[in-house]
Amino acid sequence: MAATLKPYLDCIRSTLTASLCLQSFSSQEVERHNKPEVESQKSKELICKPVKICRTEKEMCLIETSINSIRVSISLKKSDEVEEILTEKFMRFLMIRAENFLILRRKPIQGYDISFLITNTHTEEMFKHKLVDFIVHFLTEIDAEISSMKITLNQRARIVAEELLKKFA
Amino acid sequence: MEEAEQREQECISFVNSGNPEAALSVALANPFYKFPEQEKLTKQQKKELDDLTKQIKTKNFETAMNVLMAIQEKSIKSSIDKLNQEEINLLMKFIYRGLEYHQHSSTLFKWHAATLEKGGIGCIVRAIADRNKI
Repeated sequence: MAATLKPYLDCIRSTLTASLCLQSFSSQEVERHNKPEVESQKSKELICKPVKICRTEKEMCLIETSINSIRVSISLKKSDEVEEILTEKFMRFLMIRAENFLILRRKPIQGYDISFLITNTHTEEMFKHKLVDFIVHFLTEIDAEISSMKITLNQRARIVAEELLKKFA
Repeated sequence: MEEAEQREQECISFVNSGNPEAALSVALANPFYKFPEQEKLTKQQKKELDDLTKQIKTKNFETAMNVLMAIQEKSIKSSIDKLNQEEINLLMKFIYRGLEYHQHSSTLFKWHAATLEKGGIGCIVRAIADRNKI
């Protein structure tokens, strides 16, 4: 498992390192505004080619780069329905608290589970390599987290079922 | 389109004769980006031209993918060493396009790592920022 995950993460890490090269850039559409260009999508010349890195059919990562911001969207593996529900709930839990995570986007873009939006202020305030590390670390941990939640859920279900069936015994 | 088909044939013959490294340089030679700008095109003609461009690009991409899959894992590094800077940039673009589909991902991750080692971060930047898409 870990052996196949590593090349995927290495690929994402190098792509992020390459694309995290941001500078302050005022909006060309509205005077005295400074918006993340990747969100507004108004000027084509400021947006780079989006890169999609797929590991399996469901597990993929979309990296959209622009002059002053970069959007990283992640789709997790979700091998069965339980994992699907758990992922959805867990991601909602995180995204409600997006304020505390700074780079987390409040809503994932369509087709993905969670999105990060890194702007030039973030790269100025924080270390670039730490930001990359954070996203890669998040990717490594999230799978383990979800599978451990799934195990706990099954355990709980088993105990509940046992207790229930005891009454009929 | 003919050029792309010819390229495909050439690559297939190289791969079949057991020389996939030679096929790689054929696949990466003279990339096709777009037709020269023409004025006074009707909407219909423009659409046809766009469709053709897409077809040629897909053809070239498939050719490149077949070559990449044909090269054995241990000879990836040696075949990349033979390429020049331009070809490495182009190879990176093909790898990124290939990664959009999940079928060959594990092989492409190896290619990505090897290309990164030779071309450095710069070739990723060029692959992302270049307006000429393949």
